[in-house]
Amino acid sequence: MRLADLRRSTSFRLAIGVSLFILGAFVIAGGIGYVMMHRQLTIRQQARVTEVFASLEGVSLQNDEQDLIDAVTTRIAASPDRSTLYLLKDAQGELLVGNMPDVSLKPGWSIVEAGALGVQTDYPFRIFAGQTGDYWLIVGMTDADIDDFREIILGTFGWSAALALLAAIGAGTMLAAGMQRRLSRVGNTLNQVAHGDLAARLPVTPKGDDIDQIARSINEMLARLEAQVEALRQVSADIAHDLRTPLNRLRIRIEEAADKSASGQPIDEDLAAAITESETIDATFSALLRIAQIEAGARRERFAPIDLAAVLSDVAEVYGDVVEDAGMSLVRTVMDPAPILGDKDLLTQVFANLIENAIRHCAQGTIITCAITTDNRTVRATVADTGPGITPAERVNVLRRLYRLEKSRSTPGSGLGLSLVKAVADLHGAELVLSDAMPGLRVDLVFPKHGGSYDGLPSDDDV
Amino acid sequence: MRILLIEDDRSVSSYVSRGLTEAGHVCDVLGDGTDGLFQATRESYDVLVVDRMLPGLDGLSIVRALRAAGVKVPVLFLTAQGGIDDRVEGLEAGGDDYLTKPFAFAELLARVNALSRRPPVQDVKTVLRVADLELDMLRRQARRGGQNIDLLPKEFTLLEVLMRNEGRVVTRTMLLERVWDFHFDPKTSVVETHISRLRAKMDKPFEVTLLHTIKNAGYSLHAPR
Repeated sequence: MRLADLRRSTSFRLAIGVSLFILGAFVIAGGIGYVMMHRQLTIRQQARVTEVFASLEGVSLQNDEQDLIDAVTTRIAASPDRSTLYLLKDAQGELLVGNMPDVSLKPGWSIVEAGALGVQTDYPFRIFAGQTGDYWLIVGMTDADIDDFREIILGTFGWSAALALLAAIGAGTMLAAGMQRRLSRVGNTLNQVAHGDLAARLPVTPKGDDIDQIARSINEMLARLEAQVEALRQVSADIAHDLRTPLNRLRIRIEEAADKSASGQPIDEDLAAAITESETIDATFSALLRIAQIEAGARRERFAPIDLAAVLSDVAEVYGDVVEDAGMSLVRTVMDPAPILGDKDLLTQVFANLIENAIRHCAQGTIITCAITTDNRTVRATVADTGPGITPAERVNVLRRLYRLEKSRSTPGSGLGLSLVKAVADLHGAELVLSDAMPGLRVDLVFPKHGGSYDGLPSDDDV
Repeated sequence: MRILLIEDDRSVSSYVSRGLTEAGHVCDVLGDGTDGLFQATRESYDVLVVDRMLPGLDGLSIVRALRAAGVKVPVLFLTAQGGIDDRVEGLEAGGDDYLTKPFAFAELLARVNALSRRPPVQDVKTVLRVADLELDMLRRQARRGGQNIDLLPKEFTLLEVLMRNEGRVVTRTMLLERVWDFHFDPKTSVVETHISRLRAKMDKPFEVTLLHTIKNAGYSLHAPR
């Protein structure tokens, strides 16, 4: 990853922004702390000066000049580094004792530079001057402690701020780099997809954060896309396989007809056969397209509340005579009213396919049973026959497109009937179950029940 | 009858127009959607046969434009798409009938004929008659030679469709759509079975045959010619 990439990355900018914000907050909080601490120190320093002044004032009130001079002298001796300054003058303005030059000060607090007081230090003095009895007394203390303290605080503060900022930038850069790496992986994967590798998936960490959630959504989308492309590919393969064979037969027929025609023989039979062949091709092609469209799911827009029992009854009625002519019988058993949301055209075709399958694959004397049963949540449509049935091992295979059992190769049909049933069932969220009718094949379609009335009005308790 | 065919595939259009001409119609052919729409508004036709996919302007747009302009000429759509929703789309756009490619010419001719003579308003006739066969729509009763014939509901509808198209060919697909509302091709002999049951009731017991099978096309109900 290049530095320029990092600098442009959202997460890096975010890290820098947050660092600056934290630094700002640190400066404000530190500033307030510093001001308050400085004030507190000043108050204490003044208290110390006031205390000394008050104690000397107490001595002065006893009217013993020598005692006062001694007291001040003792204190001066206790401060050889002249960190505390004293000056005592009598009522006539005569200097009695002192370790500082006689500067003129107004009564009360003053702050005087050390230079003006003849002391070799950088710090100013905090001085209280005032009349005590007949005497003029000055007490001053150096601000060195306060300033030292201030330096310590500012130093500590400055260094810690600098370190914190460095740490924030460092951590931010690392986070940003990590984020940038993950985003780059996302970008690379999407590039792979764009170049046709639909099997590529985004990495998902166990953290489950926002990027993982997006990655998961994108992965789901890719899985669906892959399935759809696979379905398309499957259809093309099916078409290639199952249409080229009859196309080849058609071509042979026409070539034969052309040969016969050249030699003056009648070709009516070949032409009729060619037409039949082309109709078969068309039927297979339409069925494949139809299944592909149903699987794409767009048809769901046309769903309406219908009674499945009415649909099955109608189909059973249409096929009653056909079944009878084939030497079989069709029995309608239970026909509960069965409200579902669905597509009447497609469901009609589903039941027609199931009954036609039974007619085509079963022998004379077979009984075909149609029933609709319901419970609280589901509607179950059943079409069963007493024919040869399908072995459990073959039941999955027969739902595959264009798959035909070996024994039914000789009977007409495209091998698409049951895959259309499966596609329509999936479209309706219905479960398709093939089972043994003992003897025969039993096909169940289990639909979710629709809570509304049949007149198309939506209802609140839709299941 | 004057028919306008808007179809860009030359081999299809020449085959269809030749067939329609042989059947006694006058057929104009245009290969471009925009030209087709212009021609359809300028001249008066009895039936329009319009391909869905055309250069210039597609079939759906042509018919929508015609209907918006108040042109009520019956339209038969041709399509190679054959999707399950295409039929509904076509009818919603203002088409009257729908035919999926590849089609047999007999199917096209039967549908064009059915469209051209379709009554403009709802047929108010309460009794349909063909020779001595009568269909009482109010009492839902069929009669032939004064003798009542009992029909099942679907047999009644089947006979009604055939009688309303008296003298014209009704194809197997047309019957599937109009009688049973089946928009797919059943693999078994649904139509043949019901026709045979109907025949057994309204034709077999009588001397004169009214319901004729037209080879490679469909069925036609008419008095002896």
